[in-house]
Amino acid sequence: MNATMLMQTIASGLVMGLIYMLIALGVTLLFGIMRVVNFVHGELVMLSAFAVYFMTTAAGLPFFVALALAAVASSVVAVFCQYALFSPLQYDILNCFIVGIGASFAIRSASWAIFGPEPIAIASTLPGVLNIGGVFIAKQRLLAAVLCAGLAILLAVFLRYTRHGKAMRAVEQDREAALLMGVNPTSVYVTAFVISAVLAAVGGAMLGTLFGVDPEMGAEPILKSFIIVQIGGMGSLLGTVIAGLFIGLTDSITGTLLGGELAFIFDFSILMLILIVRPRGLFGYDA
Amino acid sequence: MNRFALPALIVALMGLPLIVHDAYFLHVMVVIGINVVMAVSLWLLGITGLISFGQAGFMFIGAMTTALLTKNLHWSFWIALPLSAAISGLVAAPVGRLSLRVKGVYFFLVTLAFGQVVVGVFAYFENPFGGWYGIRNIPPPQPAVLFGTLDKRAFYYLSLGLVLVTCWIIYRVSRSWFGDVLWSIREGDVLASSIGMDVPGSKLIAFIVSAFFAGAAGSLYASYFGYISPLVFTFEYSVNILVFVVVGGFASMAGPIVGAVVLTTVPELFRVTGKYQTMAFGLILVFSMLAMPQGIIGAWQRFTDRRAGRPIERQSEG
Repeated sequence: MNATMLMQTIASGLVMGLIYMLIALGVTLLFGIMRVVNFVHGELVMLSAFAVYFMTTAAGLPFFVALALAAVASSVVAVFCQYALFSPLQYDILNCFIVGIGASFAIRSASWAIFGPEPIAIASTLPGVLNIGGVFIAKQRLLAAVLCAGLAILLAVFLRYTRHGKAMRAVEQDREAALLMGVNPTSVYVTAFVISAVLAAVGGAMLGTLFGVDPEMGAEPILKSFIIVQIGGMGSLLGTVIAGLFIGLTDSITGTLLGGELAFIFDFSILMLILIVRPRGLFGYDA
Repeated sequence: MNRFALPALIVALMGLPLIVHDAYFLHVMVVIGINVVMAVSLWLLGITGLISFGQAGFMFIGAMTTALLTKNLHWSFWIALPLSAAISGLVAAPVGRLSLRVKGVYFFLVTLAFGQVVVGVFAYFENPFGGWYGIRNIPPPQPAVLFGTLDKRAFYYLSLGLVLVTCWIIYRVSRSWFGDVLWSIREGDVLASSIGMDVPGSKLIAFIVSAFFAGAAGSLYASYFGYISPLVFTFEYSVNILVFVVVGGFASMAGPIVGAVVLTTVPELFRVTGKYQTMAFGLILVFSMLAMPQGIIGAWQRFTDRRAGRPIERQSEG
């Protein structure tokens, strides 16, 4: 592997890492605030990609309009899941996880029945390739990277500086105390679900433009998200960002050197290693 | 249940192939047997408060061991069966040692990832694991006169035998002193360790025993179907087993058995297959969690309690 190829691998790894990071941020946000591991998140990724595809090709809408509408649709599904599944179970972590898997399977196989197995892809919005010192990056990938990084920064700013963001962090730190200070937990929960759904929608649209859309496409990002979130530490946004980029890079490098299937095994080995030295993850709460 | 019901049921099951010769019926019974062993093995983890999402991974390890031993090395199935279970248990020791460092949903995620890794490893190495194509033409058990024919009766008895042995051992374990330790870990592991119970050690033993029987089920699967591939022992299959247990209920060992029997039979009756079966299982899982959180057995107990006029004060299942 020469220097250019290495740079090439690192560049595409960073792009993948940013997309995975964005999807994993949704998972970790929900876990931090209401201790729920949302398995349906992967299906939101998939459904949003389909929504964007149909709105751009069938309805002929511009990409970003379609993306905004898909984000709204994804939020509706997420809030519906919250009220229909997670709220009746009192956000009990184990039961919610199991119910999430059931819902995810149902949605996924319904999508197979509805959309069929034909591979389709969202049309590229930015065709062309950029040459940065011998390293070639598709402009579409660059757009994805910028969009994902931008949204992550936006999320950080929202949580740090806005009133609602502060309320979310308060609930995350101590739910009872936040309640006593007049924070409405229901509105915080709904906001968290909406934010995570929007992140899933953007991630799904990006994956859909880069790799195509199919009913199974939510499965890998959700598994990767779980590994990322666990390495970074459940509920820690910073940990998710670092672990997301790291997993994207190692995936890309092991994928280039050894083939894609070993990448997942390598990820798992890293997770096991983290569990040995630090069970709660890099920046996590108590395990 | 009165004390003659269980022996009567076993005798009836033993006599069944003498009356019913239908190969398809016996085939469904063998599949039910494999599923019951898997569900009961998962239930043992369940009474410890742990749920593994990688149970199909251990089953795959057992199936792969049997496939390699009987096909490539021409060993007898009767040696391969206990060896497959043992190797599955052996793999479970380090995996359990590490994954049991974390609790609750973290444990779910690690076991989930483990199941994926087993599939990944077996799919990646074409030699000797056959890659995504899997391994075909796995020889049936000896003697070929009994197992090598299209007559399923021998496999029916093999499957029934495995079910009875598994259920008996796991039932004894769950009712033993060690079983009490497991139940109390489920109720509260800090409290259990405060009165001197070896929480990590007991969890690890439960994990290994559970993997042992999953490996045995895998071994039976490999020799019965004669074909295994990474597409069989997927995460979906792990979840199906969990659905058996959740729908049946954790409260007693009848739960996973009833769950596995009902949920293997019902799809066969309607002949729903493939993706629709996955959809049905997903919906069943959601509705049984929301409407019947203690499973069929829990609902039945509550029903009989109410009929007998007993106050309903069973401990809630967490």
